[in-house]
Amino acid sequence: MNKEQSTRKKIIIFLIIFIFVIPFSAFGQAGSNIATGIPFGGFVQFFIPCTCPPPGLWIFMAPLYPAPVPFPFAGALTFNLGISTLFANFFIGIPTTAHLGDYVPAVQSCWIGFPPFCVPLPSFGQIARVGTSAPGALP
Amino acid sequence: MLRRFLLVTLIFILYSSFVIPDSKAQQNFIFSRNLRIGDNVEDVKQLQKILNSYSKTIVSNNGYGSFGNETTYFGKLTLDAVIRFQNLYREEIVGNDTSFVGTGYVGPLTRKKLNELTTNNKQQTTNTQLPENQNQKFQNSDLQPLTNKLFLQPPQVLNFSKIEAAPGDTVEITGWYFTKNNSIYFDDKKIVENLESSEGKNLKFIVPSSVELGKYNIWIENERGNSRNQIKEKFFTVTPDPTNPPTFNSTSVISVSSLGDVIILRGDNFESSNEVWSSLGNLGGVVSNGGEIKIHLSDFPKASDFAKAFKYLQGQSIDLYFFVKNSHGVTLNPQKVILRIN
Repeated sequence: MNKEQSTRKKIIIFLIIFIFVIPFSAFGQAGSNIATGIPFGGFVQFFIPCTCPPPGLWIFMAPLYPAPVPFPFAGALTFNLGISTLFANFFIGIPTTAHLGDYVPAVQSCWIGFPPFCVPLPSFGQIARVGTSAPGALP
Repeated sequence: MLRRFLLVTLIFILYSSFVIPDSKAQQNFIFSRNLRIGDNVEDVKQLQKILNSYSKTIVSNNGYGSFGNETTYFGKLTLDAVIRFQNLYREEIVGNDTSFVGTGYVGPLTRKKLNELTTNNKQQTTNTQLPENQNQKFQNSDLQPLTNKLFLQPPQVLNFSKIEAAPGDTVEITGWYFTKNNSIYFDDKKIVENLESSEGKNLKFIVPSSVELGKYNIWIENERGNSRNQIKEKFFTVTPDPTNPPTFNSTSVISVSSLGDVIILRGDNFESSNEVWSSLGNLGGVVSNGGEIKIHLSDFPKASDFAKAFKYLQGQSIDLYFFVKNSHGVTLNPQKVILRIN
């Protein structure tokens, strides 16, 4: 292998790194604006609509695996439109679907009732990002 | 030849990687006033947008101040982000003064750097050098109300600490998007003005003695808009003999062991017919003798769905929350009920 071939090989490797790594890191930088929290996974049993602003769903999950709780648990997390980020399959809050994502603990963002009689329905926290399965995933 | 091509491609990729993320930050806004903690103006929202455009100066990862949720309020999170911004661009802000540490105060030098980042043509750069009053004139152009209408959320009311009050009583309103300069209207009459909300979520006012007894629709107005159409009814009563909203007597937790169990909610100002709102859904027409409400958990609409989860929850305790609503108002704090599943 002569010097030119060696240099060409180095440049190609360098280029491949930039083509595949830089775009992802740039995406990652933009993506870092998306809220991140503590991981959770759970199966939806039912939901209650948050009828006061901000709009959303109070989603009761069982079993629920909310880190850092070390064992299967049950409880609710709030999904807020325009605040929480939803990924495929987009079946947010639908019973028998599995939800996997991260949440911000102790943020109370589900208000039920109607103005001027809105009250906060407590939950574990606010979902930051979540992806869902199709219905029927409940074990 | 190939080497030259590869080199050009590489330079292009590198250029794109650094320039494209930055271009998102260009929002063509001119910072014409100094900003500090406690400020509640549109400029703060634009400031947060710029700060959120750079990974090292993100105001917050979630909630208020986060990307897409920028607010007009300059709080602690914004202060911290501005300090990071100033330290990041120290040389460009203060030159070679290595002793400079970010203060969080957005003065002329920091504004200059912000404007450099937000402007993308010569004309706009010239605007940054205009005297402050001229920039102010530009800011307050006729377009500003339209901009507010399109991009700002108007104030929203969630609840009142009481919906019956005598003249002289203090009433607290909870809601969103209150500012430092709010006006309160009783129907079409402005009753209170220049009312400040420190966190943007609460407003306290005293019912003036000049208000006639009667029923009113109360709404809020500030520079973001108004809540006039949010509530249609006259829900607030000014009376010499007001009744307080329902409240729970005890803060102690109720424990039950089965969905078939009866829970007893004890409190004041329950009526003969009440609504009970809960983690298991809402129930209407719930009777009370005035001080107690007895109710089966299994009567709630979501109880059967909830029961399906029991197979996962053996030996565990689940917290449920209950509120009572009637014509005097709603319990602002919930009664907690712990259901232990055996």
